[in-house]
Amino acid sequence: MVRSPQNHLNEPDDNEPDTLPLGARLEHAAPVELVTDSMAPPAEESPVDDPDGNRAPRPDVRASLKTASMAVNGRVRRTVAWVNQPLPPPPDRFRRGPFGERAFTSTVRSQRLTSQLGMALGAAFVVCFITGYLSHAIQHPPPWFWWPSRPVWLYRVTQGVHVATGLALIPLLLAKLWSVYPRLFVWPPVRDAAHAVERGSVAVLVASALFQVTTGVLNIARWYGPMPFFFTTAHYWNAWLAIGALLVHIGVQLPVIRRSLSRSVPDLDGVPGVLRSGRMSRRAVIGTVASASGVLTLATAGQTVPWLANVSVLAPRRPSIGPQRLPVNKSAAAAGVVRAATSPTYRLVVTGPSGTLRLSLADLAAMPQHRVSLPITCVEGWSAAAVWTGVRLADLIRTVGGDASAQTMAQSLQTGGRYRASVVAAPHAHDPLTLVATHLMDEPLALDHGYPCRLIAPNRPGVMQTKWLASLTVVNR
Amino acid sequence: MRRALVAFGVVAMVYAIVGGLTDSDVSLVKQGAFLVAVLVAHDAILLPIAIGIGAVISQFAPVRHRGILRAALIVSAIVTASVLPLVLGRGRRPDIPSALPLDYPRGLLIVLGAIWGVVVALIGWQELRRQRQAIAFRRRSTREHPH
Repeated sequence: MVRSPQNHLNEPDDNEPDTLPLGARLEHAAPVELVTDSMAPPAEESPVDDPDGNRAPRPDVRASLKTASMAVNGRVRRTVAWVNQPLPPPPDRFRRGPFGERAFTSTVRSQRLTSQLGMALGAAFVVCFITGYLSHAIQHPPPWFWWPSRPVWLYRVTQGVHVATGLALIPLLLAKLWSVYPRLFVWPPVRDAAHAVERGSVAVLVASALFQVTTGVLNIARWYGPMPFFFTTAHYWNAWLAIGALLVHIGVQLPVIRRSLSRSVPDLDGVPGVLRSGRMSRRAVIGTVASASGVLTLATAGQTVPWLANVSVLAPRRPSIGPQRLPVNKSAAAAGVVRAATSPTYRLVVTGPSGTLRLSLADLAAMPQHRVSLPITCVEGWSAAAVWTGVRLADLIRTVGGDASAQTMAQSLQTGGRYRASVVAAPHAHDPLTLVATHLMDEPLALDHGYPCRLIAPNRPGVMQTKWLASLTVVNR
Repeated sequence: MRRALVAFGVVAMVYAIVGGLTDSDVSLVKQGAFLVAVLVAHDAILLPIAIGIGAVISQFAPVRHRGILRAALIVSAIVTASVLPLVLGRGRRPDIPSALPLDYPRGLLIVLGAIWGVVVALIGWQELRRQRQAIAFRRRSTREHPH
């Protein structure tokens, strides 16, 4: 098939200087000259003693400094030259299959399409990164981080957006990779060292983007077998790798993006549309990608958007399915707490500055009861509204001598596991909506929901709403 | 601007690597292997298959409907691939029936049915319009050139 002129115009040109700025910039930059100037005063100045009587560098010292800096200068130049030195191209007989000149015949690929898909994908990745970092920071707060207890729905929204965006960007990512696929087989595969670095950074970007999406999907499907590592930390550190590689990629490609999106470039694509011609137009590709994202969103978002629940036939959760019409993430049996939780000798141990309380369920029931409506939000992206009844955590904190600064460590009856304990920071600990709940939907808590009592606080991830409470330790700060 | 983007990007990547090296939960070897695996699976297997299928469609599908068939096939393939872990249901545990509570193979069939229902409706509408246009054209030409 013969390439259309449009294809030639839009095909990414590997020899364009501004697609490869790093090597070019290195060549022109002369940092060592600056160092030389600052280190060696002008030659006509005579050496002067400073007020402390120290001798200024003598001319021979200056000369040796200059020689040294010139040596460094030369070495840097040689390195830059080596980096930019063209590598011998591989023999042409290897230029076959996808490496062939006419291997990719689709006329739909264009820099404009790639840039548009890339912009949307970049935005989606940034949304995922920010919401993902937020979720991480709430669970492992760095010293500067502060997270409020209101609005109660905030984490529900940010984490829902995180997972929904992650799913919706799958079609975008695949289309973007398809649009630049011929560049994978660019000839020669490596022009010089700078080109190799650029290609390596693109490989890191592609691999880390696919990694994030794949592990995210496996996680919401709770299928941990194919992941030979702990999902949470892998997804977290790889997110930094992906966002870093994305920033580098945008930095390198910025001129191409600007040019291909500027109106001055004629868009030869035309608007034939999907319906009227056999060939897909750029807009048809974008429409197809948007449709795929829309279908995926509609089919799954019902796990957190209640009015979509019946439409979302592929949602990993349905908010109304579970014991007491609420989903469960960890069962009492899996947590190994059944015997301790159902023991008649169960006591909630509350420790604070003024002493320790050992409360039975009857003791808790005798305290002032409060009924609150709070959603439970899982890090996996599902959430569901629920009505909880129990004792205010703030009341318990006051009883054991905690003040307004007090934060509380909630520990579960579980003897192991990453999420057996959580810290309730001051904003949540003193929020009147935060309860040690004994009832859900006006019934005693089901064993899988944390019987005999559990923590429920506004605007916190589900893994921090500690179930099967064993103790509360209050510390004034 | 560009230098700042590249610099921030490199800092983030270095942070990721240092973080991965110092976090005892991370196995760099296994994570690295998975990174390579997804890259190879996509670049060497999935995408070539998708492009191949696209090429076959271009050969055999009628030109009039090629675009929409291709679009529907792309959407179907992407949606199927994205929800495959749910459909396989390997993450189900007997002690948590509320996790993955739906019949996902059935759900996928419903979604695919909806996509292809739209395709059939669009093609039907397109054909109907074509036929009407053809009839109108014939009538006009008979009026203008009576035998």
